[in-house]
Amino acid sequence: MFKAEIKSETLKGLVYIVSTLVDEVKFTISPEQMSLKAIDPAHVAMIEINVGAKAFVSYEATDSEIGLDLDKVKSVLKLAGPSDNIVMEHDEAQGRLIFRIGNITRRMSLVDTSSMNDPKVPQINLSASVQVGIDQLQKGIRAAESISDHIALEADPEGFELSCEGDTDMANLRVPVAELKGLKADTKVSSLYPLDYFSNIVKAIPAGTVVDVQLDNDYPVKLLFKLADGEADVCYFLAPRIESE
Amino acid sequence: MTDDWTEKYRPRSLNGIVGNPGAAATMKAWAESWNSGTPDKRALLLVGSPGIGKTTSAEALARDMGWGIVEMNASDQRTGNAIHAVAGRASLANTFGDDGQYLQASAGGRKLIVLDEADNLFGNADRGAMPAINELIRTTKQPLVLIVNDEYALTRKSAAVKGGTLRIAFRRPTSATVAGVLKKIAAAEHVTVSPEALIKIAANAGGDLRAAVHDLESLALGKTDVTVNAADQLSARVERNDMYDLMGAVFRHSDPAAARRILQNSDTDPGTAELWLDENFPYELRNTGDLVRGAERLSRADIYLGRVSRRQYFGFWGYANDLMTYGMIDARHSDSKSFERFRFPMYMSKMARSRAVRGLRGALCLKLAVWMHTSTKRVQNDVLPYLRLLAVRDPEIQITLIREARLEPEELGFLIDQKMDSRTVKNAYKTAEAETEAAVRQPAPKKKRRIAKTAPLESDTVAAVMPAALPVPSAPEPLQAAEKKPSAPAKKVQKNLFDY
Repeated sequence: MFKAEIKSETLKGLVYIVSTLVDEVKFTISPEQMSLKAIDPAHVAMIEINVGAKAFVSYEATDSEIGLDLDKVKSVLKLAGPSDNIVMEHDEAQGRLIFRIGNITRRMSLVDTSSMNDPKVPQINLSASVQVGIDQLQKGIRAAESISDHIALEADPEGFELSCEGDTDMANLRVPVAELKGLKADTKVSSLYPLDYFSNIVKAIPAGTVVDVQLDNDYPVKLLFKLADGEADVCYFLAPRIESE
Repeated sequence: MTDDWTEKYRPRSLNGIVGNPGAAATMKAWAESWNSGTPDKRALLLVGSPGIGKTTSAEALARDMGWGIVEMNASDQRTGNAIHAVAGRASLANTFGDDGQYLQASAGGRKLIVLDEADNLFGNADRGAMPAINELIRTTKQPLVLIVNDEYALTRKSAAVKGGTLRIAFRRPTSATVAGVLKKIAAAEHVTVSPEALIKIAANAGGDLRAAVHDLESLALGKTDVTVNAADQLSARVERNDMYDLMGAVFRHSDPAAARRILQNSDTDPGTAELWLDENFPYELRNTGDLVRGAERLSRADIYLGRVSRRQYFGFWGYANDLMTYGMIDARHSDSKSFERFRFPMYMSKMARSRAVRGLRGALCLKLAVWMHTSTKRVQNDVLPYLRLLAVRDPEIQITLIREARLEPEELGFLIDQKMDSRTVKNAYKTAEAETEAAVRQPAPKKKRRIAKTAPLESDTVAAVMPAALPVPSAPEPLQAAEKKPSAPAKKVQKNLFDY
């Protein structure tokens, strides 16, 4: 059983973030929270989201699983205005999810979840951690685009740096420690990541969010942030590029 | 859902692969060479018929090496973009394994990118796949495996596949090997199978291990023992015969009955088989006398094929088939044999390559034919060569062609042997446009000057036919309005041409 009401903005935020990686996703639902884990088809990036019951306007559920086609969900979201609430209800008999937005009812057939395995989330310890406003990151991405297809993230005790170097041009964004919300870096660390993944996720994060960027030398980056007024936790992993050998 | 037996008993490690120890060892060695940096050949090409363990080997290799695996097969969308998005992105970055491990390339943690059924790339549905695969072979920093049944389908499209990959051929396991595997599975499933039945099933599968396991499972369904009588009921699997088998039977084994059977059972029509024989027999029959006899038999077969299409009497196929198999084999009197590999008919690859050009020429001829009131064939044979000379030397004619025959830049470019965005073509279009505008502004004098040379009645018919017959998508509106006025000089060009 699953019945919940959620603000359309919250759902939109979640769906757009997940859809940067996968087209179909399995939600695992429990009485306390809704969660999902997904890895992209190229096995380069991974995401884990836990949405607590408090992120919803109302929430009632027993343990169950729901498989959703995210493109369809996006089309439903287009029906909702920013201030609307969306009611979701799982029709187990028919294998459908029912969305109600104002007077609109949309019944959506679900995706079979039996072949969808939850990836395990890696346990990684990263030495540096930077708390930075998403707006800064988005600025950096905009500067880096069309220069190269990869981007370097760098942290040292004095600040955080995004840089991108192409064959002829380069761009970088340096945020000094004073403009960061927090910084923990004992030494200088830096890694190179595929820009398209990084830019997709950064663009999908709603404005005003503070992101905890955890880094190390030539190692995956972990982005931690909260959505829905702090009630939804998102953890995103991105593997670095292979440096030339 | 319980897995079927092919899944349940699929080997998890390369050591479990039967019948191809050499292939497994080569794969292993190649995988280990990645530990000391990117090897010369970044990709493996696994070649072999269906059901003998190519995909299984690739998956087992990844498992043996502790690598992750990213797989794309024919059920995925495989346009160039899709390959870039999945395999391409995967090939340049480090990876996360399914078991939550981070795999770092420099520490030996890689992921195997598997493009299964890489020979089944179909035209539009898989647009741009070939260039994407070529790029992948050149640039990948992760190990790549291409799996094909028909090697030539891929290598003839791509030099990168030929040169940049390490080719490993998978052989069909022998019946005895297959029977051994079946025996183990039967024991594990507590099914009693008589040894004769095992051999029967194994032989029937013809080396296709997957098929043999399927057969065993279907026979054992709901029973505890399988007798040879039950195995007898298996319908013989139709072996897929293709042109390479035919070439082998004709030129290498000299087995006319087998060759005739292959040709009979193949899905390919005798016309294609004829092209194959035509391509290959000069390389196979080295002796002059053999060559003459072979050519005679083939040309006689061709005459029959011609009659088939002219009279629509398909009984003649039989004669053609006999001549191409029995006849061709009989043509060899000497015992010289060649060991070259068989060639794909050059005619077919040339036709495929020139398809775009032929299409363009066809469109051009049709426009000119409508404009000149004659047939496309006539335009192609009689008009095009002269018109080409005229158009190359005289920009006026180019402009007339643009305005009267409404040639697209592509077509004009083809006619005067220039690129469609070359300066000549662009200038011609600029002038033509300017003239058209001038004609709209003061139509009267122009009309008089040009029409003087031809009968007004005819010019009207030309104008009436043209807009109806020719879809001109990019034509600007004012041109349509000016259509009737400048159409008269059509005759002028035509006269010039036929005066030649």
